[in-house]
Amino acid sequence: MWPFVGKSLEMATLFMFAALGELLNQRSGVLNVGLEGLMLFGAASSFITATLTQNILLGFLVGMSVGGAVGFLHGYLSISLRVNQVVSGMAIWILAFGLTTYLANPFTGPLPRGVSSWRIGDLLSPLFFVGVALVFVVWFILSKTHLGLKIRAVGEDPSVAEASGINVVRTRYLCVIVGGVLGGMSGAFLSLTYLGSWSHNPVAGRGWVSLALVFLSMWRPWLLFAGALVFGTIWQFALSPEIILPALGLPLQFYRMIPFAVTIVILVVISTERFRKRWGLAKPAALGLPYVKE
Amino acid sequence: MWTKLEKKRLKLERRLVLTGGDAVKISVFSIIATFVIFGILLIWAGVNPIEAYGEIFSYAYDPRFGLGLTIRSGMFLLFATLAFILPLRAGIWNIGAEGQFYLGTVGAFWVAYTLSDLPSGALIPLMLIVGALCGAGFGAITGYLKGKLNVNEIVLAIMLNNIAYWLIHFLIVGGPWMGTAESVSRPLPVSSWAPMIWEVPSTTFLVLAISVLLYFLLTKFTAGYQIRTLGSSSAAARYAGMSPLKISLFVMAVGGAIAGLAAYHLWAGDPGFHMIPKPQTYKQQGDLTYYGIVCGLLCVLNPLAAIPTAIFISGMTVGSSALVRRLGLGFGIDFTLLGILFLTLAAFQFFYQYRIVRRKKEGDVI
Repeated sequence: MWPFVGKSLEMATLFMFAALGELLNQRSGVLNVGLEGLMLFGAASSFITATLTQNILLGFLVGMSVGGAVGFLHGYLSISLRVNQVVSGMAIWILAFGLTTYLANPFTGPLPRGVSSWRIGDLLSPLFFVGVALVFVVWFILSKTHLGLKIRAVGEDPSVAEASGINVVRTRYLCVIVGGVLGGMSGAFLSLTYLGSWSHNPVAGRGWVSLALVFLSMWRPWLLFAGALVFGTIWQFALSPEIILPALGLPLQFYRMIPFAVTIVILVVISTERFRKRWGLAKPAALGLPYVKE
Repeated sequence: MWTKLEKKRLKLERRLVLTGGDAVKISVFSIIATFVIFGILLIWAGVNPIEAYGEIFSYAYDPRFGLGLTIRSGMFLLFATLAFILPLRAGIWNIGAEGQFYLGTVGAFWVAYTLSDLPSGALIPLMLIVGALCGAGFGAITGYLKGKLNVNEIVLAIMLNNIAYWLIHFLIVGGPWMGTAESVSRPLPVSSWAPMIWEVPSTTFLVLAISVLLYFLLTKFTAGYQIRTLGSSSAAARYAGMSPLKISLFVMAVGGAIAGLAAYHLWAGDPGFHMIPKPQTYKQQGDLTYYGIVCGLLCVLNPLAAIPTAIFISGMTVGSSALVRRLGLGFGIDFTLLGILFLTLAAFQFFYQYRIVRRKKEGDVI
């Protein structure tokens, strides 16, 4: 039972990092549907680094830097070149899919002997608490600081923000790069800690679920935290249902569908008219729209 | 950012209209840029790019080697491309071709297994129809939720794709369709195999016909006009009395049906299959449907231009996967090439809105 709880919380950590970065992105008005690709880049680069240098910390740092660079790339395409953000995000995903397969395939297998991630009592990675702290930090910045006000203003109405003296481009770049770093970190956490090995396409839809989590959280960090816990548990349950429900003889494949089915149900529920009116989504009004200063 | 350009008497200007010719030019330039970038990657991998490109083209389009595969997988890609193009004309991203293709697989195989006594002339059309209906139904889920509640269709479709993946997994791994070999389905009855015409599966002509039909639907019919109107402005469509829900349902159902037909084309038309292969392999085929997105954007959402574009992209994939064998490059190089193509194309979309023009000399009479 305890290993299950530990694994669930680690899965939640993974969702937390990725979705928190995306939330920051989206609050500034930039949609990055390439989150899955961002995680793939982070996972592959960190795993290759850790294998070659036998150094976990260096692996994490490289994964985060690569994530930041890919975030910057998305920023360059969508902020400076004003390309359709969905096209740019999809492109990053498709590129990640090919490039990480090509680069990391020779490294398929577990981490080298003696290289292993930190764990408290062999159960839970301390990065879980880093994740919780980050949720607090992002919440605090967004709702209590001047910077957070700027980010939200840029996401709501960039021309008004610009008129009141905020540098829209710089604020958005800041958010996409930090978002990229967090996405890369999530990927690194997946390959170095949660799995501790590399196999073809290890992210396997978690990036997409993280993206959905941002919508489900209605752009609020604490709801996102709760969502990450719920989805971490559901995903872990889908992987090893026998720990919780030994008696049900359903085929394994049905359990594997659960996280995706639950996502759909919640997406539909929060999109209903009634829910929107009642809870008033904090959806950034300028989400996905390129800003043209003309 | 552009100050340097401006000093050089070149100026960036916002486009007011994007003509078809300009769009084609942008696509061609992004292909050229892709070859340059991929060439750098090849040099880094220790391969002479000229030699590598020679290998790619000579393998992919040579009837003795890859041409058959290029056409077969090109037509599969064309199904996926058309399934993507039509909804995007209405402003809806159909990322769900993978799931619709899986559902088409379920429909077609269900018919083949339960009605295997029927003669080919009845069995094959039935497989096509049921496969298309299953794909259409699956696509319609996204279309309905998008049109009715404005649910994010991309996330929704990816979730549905994963569910469909596990559905097939259930059917063939330990499920009712389990074959004699491990993790593959029972073989298709011989009567259900797609007849070959000029050494290509007859479904090739089906997808070519669909391309032409879609072209006429989009350009010559009221429905096409409504689709394009919704695509450019949902407010305009509503003011003109069109129903976004109906249009969104229609395009997603038709898109899903096309992706569903791809299943019969692939499994019954390719002599290498004639069954559902093990999960790793059918997933690989499902992943190919995502390249319909690249293909659709590259041919500027034109169903007729999609035909040569699909053959081109499929040639690139088939040719570069030959690099793995012939030049010893790593696995995944073909998908890397397509990824670079997609990213370059995304960057070049900048020129959909802007163009570089020569500045008039100061002494010029205006």
